[in-house]
Amino acid sequence: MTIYLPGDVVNEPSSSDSSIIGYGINVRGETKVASQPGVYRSDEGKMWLNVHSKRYIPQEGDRVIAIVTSKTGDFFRLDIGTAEYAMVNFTNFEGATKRNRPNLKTGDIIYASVFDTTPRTEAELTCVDDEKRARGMGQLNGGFMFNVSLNHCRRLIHPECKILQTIGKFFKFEITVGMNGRIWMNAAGVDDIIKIHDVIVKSEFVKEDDELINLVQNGYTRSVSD
Amino acid sequence: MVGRLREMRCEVSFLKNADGSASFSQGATCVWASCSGPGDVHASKANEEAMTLDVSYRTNCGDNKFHELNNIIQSTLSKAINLELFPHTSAAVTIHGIQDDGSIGAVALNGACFALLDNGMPFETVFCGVLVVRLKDELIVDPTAKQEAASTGRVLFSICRGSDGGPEVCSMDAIGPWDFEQLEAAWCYAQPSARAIFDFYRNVMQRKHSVDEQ
Amino acid sequence: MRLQPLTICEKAVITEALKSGKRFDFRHLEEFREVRLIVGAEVGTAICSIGNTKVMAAVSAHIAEPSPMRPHKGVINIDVDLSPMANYANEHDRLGSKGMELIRLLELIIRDSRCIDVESLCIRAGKEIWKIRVDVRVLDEDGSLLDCACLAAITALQHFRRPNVTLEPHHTLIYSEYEKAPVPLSIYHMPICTTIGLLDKGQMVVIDPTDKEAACLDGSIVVACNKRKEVCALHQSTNLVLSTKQIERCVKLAMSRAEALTVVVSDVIKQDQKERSAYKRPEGFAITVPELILTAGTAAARQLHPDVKEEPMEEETRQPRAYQPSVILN
Repeated sequence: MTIYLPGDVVNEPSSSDSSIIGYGINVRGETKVASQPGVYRSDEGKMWLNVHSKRYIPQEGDRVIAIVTSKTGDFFRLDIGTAEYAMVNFTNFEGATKRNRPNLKTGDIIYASVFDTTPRTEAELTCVDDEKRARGMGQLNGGFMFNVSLNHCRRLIHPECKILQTIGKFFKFEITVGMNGRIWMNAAGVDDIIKIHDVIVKSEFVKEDDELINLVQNGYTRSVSD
Repeated sequence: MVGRLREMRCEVSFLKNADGSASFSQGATCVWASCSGPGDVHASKANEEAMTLDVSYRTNCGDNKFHELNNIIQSTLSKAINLELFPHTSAAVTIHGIQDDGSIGAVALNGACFALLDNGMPFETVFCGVLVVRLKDELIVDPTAKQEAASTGRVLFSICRGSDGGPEVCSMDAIGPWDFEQLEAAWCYAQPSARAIFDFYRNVMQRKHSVDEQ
Repeated sequence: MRLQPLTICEKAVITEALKSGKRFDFRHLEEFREVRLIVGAEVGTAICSIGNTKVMAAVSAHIAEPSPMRPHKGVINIDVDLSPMANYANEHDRLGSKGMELIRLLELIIRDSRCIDVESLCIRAGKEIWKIRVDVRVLDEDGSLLDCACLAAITALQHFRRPNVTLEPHHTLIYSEYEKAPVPLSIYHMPICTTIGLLDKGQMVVIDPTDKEAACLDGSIVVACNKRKEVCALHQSTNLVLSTKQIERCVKLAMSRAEALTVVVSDVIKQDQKERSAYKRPEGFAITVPELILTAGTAAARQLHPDVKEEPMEEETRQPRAYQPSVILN
């Protein structure tokens, strides 16, 4: 596991046959040069660097958690943590028609997917897939939202990561992870929300081993306050 | 010639609000640096073609509007970051000089690079700063405050990595009379210094990313 | 850069938690965050951190002419710097309403409460006085900004030593620290500030709120008092109507806090004095990096060996190096 700093030439043995160059690597002529600090990863013909960062840059296909800031005409204006605002057309919700508009107010949050990121314009999001079905997207009701870094979000939803599973052994909860560093979750009571929030935030710098189980166990048994 | 780099210590990601932050010290000279961006920019300052970079070096005491270090830090950052990647956005880099025991300019540049690495923003090459002073015909690298105050000439090299991976001068700020041979000799001592600092960047980042080992 | 807006669900959960006495950092409603105070190697510098909020204060002095209306009183100026490091919504060199409020409140607490004897800062009445400048740099914001700034400023003022002077008939002699020991400022008392958040129209009290908590509260009141049980300042910036009983309760909490923190400040100053009088070089803000955390690193001091230049093989190609100036002067 080697780290690449910006300006390093990426010289991995599998790099010659990889066809898709991903995040963090630029191609200059014949050489592949890292442009962000990260650990090299490769999988099935794709190569990229796993970068640690906190600020989201919109990518098509990402599922993000967006906060509604205003309503203008046919669009809702959203904040997804990027430089420009994002927007979603009110027809891009499941079951929405011209008469039946989604009832969102300022401060509500939705889970949507990015489908258009033309530079210098607002990113456009949608809450339905091509067949007009929600597939888990749409408004998130109740619960609690908080921020973590982007790499932690990616780690949480990785199939081999055991953090959420371990938490699930002790708590009953539901969770949605946005690629823009925002996590929404709902649990039985305020106590549980506070404990799970603490565990998820602290697990960012804990490796996947016994330390993790200890962390979750301590979180479960710790009392919130008297 | 005395070539010695003081002990370096660094902690990254320790500020809650900044996207990337670093606390870096060489010997007793210490700076805190932060880099936030790319984020939205006010219409009055927006640049349609490139990112607006807002760089400021701030001292402990006094008015902070103008400082001589702002020039070299701004020019180094403009070269290191490809500003045209993020048009109509802005980034803010702030470096606070917390304690000054000599070569504060070099420490500020190194701190800024750590903050940029911690931010995770794309940029072209890592950079560092090395200060070389001349004290009675002797060249000293990374001087303490006493040595710097007694020196007759100072040159601050801002060094980035060239295309072959070796150190290359990106910007230079010289004060006092220097002749060509002395500058070349100073550069001879600045290069291994730069390599040592680049190695330190790698070690710290490696340690930070070791949480991804699976 | 704009801030992330507060969502309805965040506000609902935080308010519900506070109303049942629970907080996200596992504190009680009336519990303060951990306070850490470090003084620097240079006299008059201090960094204070309360939880995640970090503020640095530095004190400096120079001689100036007094104002004609107060010819025998020194002057204390306070300057606050809010940079994007503290909060990316700030801009460099621009204060904004929050910064102006902070300056005004610090002036109220430090200058208007007369905690420093300004008459002792006079050198020659009508001609020369000491102007003390307190620079407050906000490094990270997470609620209780005024508390942290006030504590850092007070510690820095206690830590500061101004040069010793003697008056000669026609001039003033200023001694360096090597000739005569510098003199501490004459400080009467230490005003300590406490931010108390209020919920439910003033019925519930939330001590030392973080930024997120402060956004969900109804308002907050700021009480500055010292260990002699004197109230130095009282300030409210929101539109709450409070009863006398509620204010008295807040003042009581602030007083016990002031006593505890005054002890902390005195301990830190005493410890620093001990080290300096033993001629030990103070560590100041040198970073102590805990070995176990993953986000820190250390590199030992090392000797450098300059790159050895290889001599070219053929001697004929070596030209004597001629330094060509780019500008030729007549």
